[in-house]
Amino acid sequence: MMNESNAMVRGSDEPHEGVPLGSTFDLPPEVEQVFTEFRTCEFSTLARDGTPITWPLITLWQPEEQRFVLTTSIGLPNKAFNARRDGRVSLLFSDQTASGLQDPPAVLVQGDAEVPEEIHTSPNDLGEYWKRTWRIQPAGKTYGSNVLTRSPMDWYYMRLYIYVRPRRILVWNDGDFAKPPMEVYHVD
Amino acid sequence: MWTEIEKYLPLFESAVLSASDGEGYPYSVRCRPEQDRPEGILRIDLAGGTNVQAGPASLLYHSHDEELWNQKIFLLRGRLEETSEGHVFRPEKFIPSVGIGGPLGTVRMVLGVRKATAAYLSKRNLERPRIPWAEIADLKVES
Repeated sequence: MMNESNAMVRGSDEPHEGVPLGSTFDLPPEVEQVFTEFRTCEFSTLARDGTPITWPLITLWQPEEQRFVLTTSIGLPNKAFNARRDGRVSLLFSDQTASGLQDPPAVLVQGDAEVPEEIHTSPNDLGEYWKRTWRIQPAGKTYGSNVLTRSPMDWYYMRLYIYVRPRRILVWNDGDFAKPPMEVYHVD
Repeated sequence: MWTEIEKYLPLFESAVLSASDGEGYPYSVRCRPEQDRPEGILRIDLAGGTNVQAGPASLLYHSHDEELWNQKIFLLRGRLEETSEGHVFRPEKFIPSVGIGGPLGTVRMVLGVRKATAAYLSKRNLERPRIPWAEIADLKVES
């Protein structure tokens, strides 16, 4: 788990001390833009046999909490089961479609996940996430908007939250995977 | 499995390879796998150098439009191997998701999700939660 004393942040020049827990991450702005503007990340959890299973997910970056929040329906629970069994996960930001960013970097976040048991049904439990979801995926507003579709679609709003604290952040400038990545954050 | 791979692979320019790194964390990179059907593998150029280890791995293919709609997603589970000619991925299972398999695939997926939802609740002796539809509608308006 992240430890204030050994958290280091690296910019393009010299490594420097990480910021204390509770304040914002000192990441390059282009990296934070990727976190907030990319529509999805490729989220990986480890299956029982060790296979990384990867699916595209919407994320919410909470810099003040130094974490990402992702969610999954209890009808698609395997990623939650995997992360509860083995908290080692990763988020790759490599699809810039619809982000509006010009030549953004690709970013890999490796981290440690926690998945509480609580099932959330109210969007107000994580309003920021749902507002972002409906903004970037306007057609998603149709889920449950019609009384007739509510019963068949109720599972969509039965959500588990997945909290991920970064452990290492790697950046490929211009999204060029033919070059080695640059580490911009790590926890020993 | 290869019938599906050959059918859907041309829809995508690239894929996300995920394997484990030396510390056991998932490590993903975007790549352009090339089919080698006679060998039953996908060849992957990892010229940039990565921390991925040979072993259990997956390849994710996904796309969406400007409004995060019309998604197409499938996953290949398999193994990453390091050979004298470079890295190869040997697929073992094709896992379709959103937008793959036509209308029947969508129906099958929704039925599967509903079944999994019931199972999740049943295993925990939980009643099906009520969804606060009015709250959802209000927040949609705010969005």
